Amino acid sequence: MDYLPQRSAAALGLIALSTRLFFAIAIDLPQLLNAGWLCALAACALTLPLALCLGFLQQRWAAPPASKCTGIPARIFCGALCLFSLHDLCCVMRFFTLSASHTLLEDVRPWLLTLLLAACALLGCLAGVRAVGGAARVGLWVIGLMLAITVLVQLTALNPGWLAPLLGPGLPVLARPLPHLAGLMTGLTGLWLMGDGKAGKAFSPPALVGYIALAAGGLLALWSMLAPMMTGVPDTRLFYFDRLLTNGRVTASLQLVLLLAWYGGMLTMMSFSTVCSARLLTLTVPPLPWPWAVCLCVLGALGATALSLADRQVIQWINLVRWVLVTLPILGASLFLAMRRKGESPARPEANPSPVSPDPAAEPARLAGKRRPVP
Amino acid sequence: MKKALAATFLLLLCLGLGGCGLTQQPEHQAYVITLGIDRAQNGQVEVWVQVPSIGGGGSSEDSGSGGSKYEMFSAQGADLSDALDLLAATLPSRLQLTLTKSVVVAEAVARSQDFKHILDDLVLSYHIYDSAAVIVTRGTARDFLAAQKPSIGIRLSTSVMAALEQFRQSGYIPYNTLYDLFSANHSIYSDPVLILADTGPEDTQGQDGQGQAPASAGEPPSLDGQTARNGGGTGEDGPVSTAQDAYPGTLPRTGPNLNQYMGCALMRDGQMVGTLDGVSSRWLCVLRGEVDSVSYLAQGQALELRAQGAPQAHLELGEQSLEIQIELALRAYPPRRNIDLEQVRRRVTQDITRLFAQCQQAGVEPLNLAQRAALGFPTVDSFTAYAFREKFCQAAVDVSVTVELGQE
Repeated sequence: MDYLPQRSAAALGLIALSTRLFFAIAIDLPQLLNAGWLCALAACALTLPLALCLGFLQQRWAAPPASKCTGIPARIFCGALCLFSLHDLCCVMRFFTLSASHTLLEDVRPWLLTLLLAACALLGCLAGVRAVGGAARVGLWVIGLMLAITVLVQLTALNPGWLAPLLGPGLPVLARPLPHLAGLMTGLTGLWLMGDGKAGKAFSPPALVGYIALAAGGLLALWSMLAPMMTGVPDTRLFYFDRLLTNGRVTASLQLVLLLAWYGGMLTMMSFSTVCSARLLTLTVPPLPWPWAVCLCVLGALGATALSLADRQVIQWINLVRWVLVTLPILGASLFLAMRRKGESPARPEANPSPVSPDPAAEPARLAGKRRPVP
Repeated sequence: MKKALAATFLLLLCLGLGGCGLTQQPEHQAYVITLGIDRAQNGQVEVWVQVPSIGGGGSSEDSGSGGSKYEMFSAQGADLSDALDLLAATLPSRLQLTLTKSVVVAEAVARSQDFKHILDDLVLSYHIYDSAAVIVTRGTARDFLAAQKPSIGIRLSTSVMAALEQFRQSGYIPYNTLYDLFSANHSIYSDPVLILADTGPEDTQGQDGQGQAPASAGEPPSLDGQTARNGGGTGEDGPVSTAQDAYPGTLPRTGPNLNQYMGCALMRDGQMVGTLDGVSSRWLCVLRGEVDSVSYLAQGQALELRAQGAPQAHLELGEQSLEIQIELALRAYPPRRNIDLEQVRRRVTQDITRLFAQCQQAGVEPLNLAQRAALGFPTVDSFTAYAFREKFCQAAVDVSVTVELGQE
């Protein structure tokens, strides 16, 4: 079983979860009007307890969290997380297909596009968790650069006045989708379970939540400043997708950059959901080999997408309590661990290696950014 | 080995998928440069499109670069969708509206109640988002499109964009796009304004040189009963009689470009309700922050006025009334130094006061004041309940202008 290095985990989580939060608000929740960015910040604030617990467990265990998921309750928990992650994969596949079909390939049948996506997901994820994490680190720079270009080009068109009135539709409307949005952010748990469990500065769940809030909230605020809020317009996904990519001022060349950033984010999100669900499946059913787990997850998501299972009302209701379903067990485990080890000192330094290696011989090589030769 | 086989199989599978469909030849597409919308004699909506005919071998006078010539097609229908469907069905190539550069609407259509639905249809059904400027012509869209010619050596699409950019920079027309208009029509903020234009007569030489040439529509336009031309535009040195305070179609000028762009069409609830002349449009553009420098005729000199920083608007949001205070600091750059700046200041103050009066009379607020006012409200509902536009129309406006001499 390969584990996700810390930097890769941070990059993968930042892109995948920010994109998930961004498109959930920008495309699926038009009733939030210009205050979606506030909602993103609030959703991140709701996820903070979960992130703090994950950070606490990471420090206490000083081992890959996946290695601790051996008992029946832990497997049940992983199974539930796997289903949530599969649901995410279905949503991403469906939206990816629809947006590609709408913007570029309107003459191509959607199911062909879905197959293409499934092939991409399979190819990427069969290479392993580390490969997907490495791709995310590259993607972070590429997507960041593209977003920076689009923001800089449109800097003079930004109108802060369109963020007012600040609360948009009002607090009750803003509060209503918060459990759902915080539920989406529980993908953080899957990311944590894929990690190598080392406590370091590169990947800290609470800090990652902060970065996600900054990225998703910031982008939503910038997007709100590009076009005035509208009432009484069709609340279709296609309309808001069009509005996202073309706000009347964007030139065709900039639209291409935006499209690349958008699909880069979507691909990362899809890879994240695939490896996450596959890893959780291997934790739920330990003898299952990685390639089988990936194939089962992709085929399962394809089937669910084809049969529109992910859109069923019952799934939507379960999704609403996802935040509670994921947060409570993690909170419970943290409390249990904290009470059991009450009075004990935190993990010993040797069991919890810091980013600075204690080995003086390794220090010059580390500073030079080189790997230590494997004996 | 198994992994390699699986990867090869998947890669082969990808080859047969999206993006590898039939090619779309440009010769098979009719890329619309300008879309015109008229009201036909029988009351139906008549649409006109101007498209390039690639390789058509047009004559030198109506050709752009690459030997292209431009053709016009039209169709009529009960509404816009009907007309465009008929047009698409009868065109010899596929109608492509997504790259449209400008939409020209006859004033009769813009003043009708179904104009808002026409705009909604264009955006929602035909996805024309990309920077298409919306122009209201006082004549017919057909005449406007027919008079639209490419500049020498430039494609018509580039010509249209270059002309609009030039007029926008000089402040004679506002900056707007179809999507701006669509979103402003559905937003809670200020009302949008459209570019006002007209097709002038073939030769206006021999007119009195004071913008008194008869318009193609026959009479000088009016602002809902108020005489707009030179209305209120009087200064210390008598009535203003410059070309800029005239309306398109009446300008004493000549040249191969018959289409004249000058002024704004005021919109309210998706319907045109009035017009602004060149001078008022310029100050509107300055107050909206679209231009920061305008040329200004005063005391026989063409001086340049540059705004020092963004114009300041202070709003007193009373429960029953609204008070507006506008502060504008200008720096003047006259060609000769013997100019009375106090007189310039009074003229500019009068111009801006007249602009506010025109907007208030038309019942519109196009000055982007609503978004400033919205800062004082927590929610959309509370701002809507305040009825800002109605209060703006009754508001007391205090315009404070300072003009100082600039040093080059």
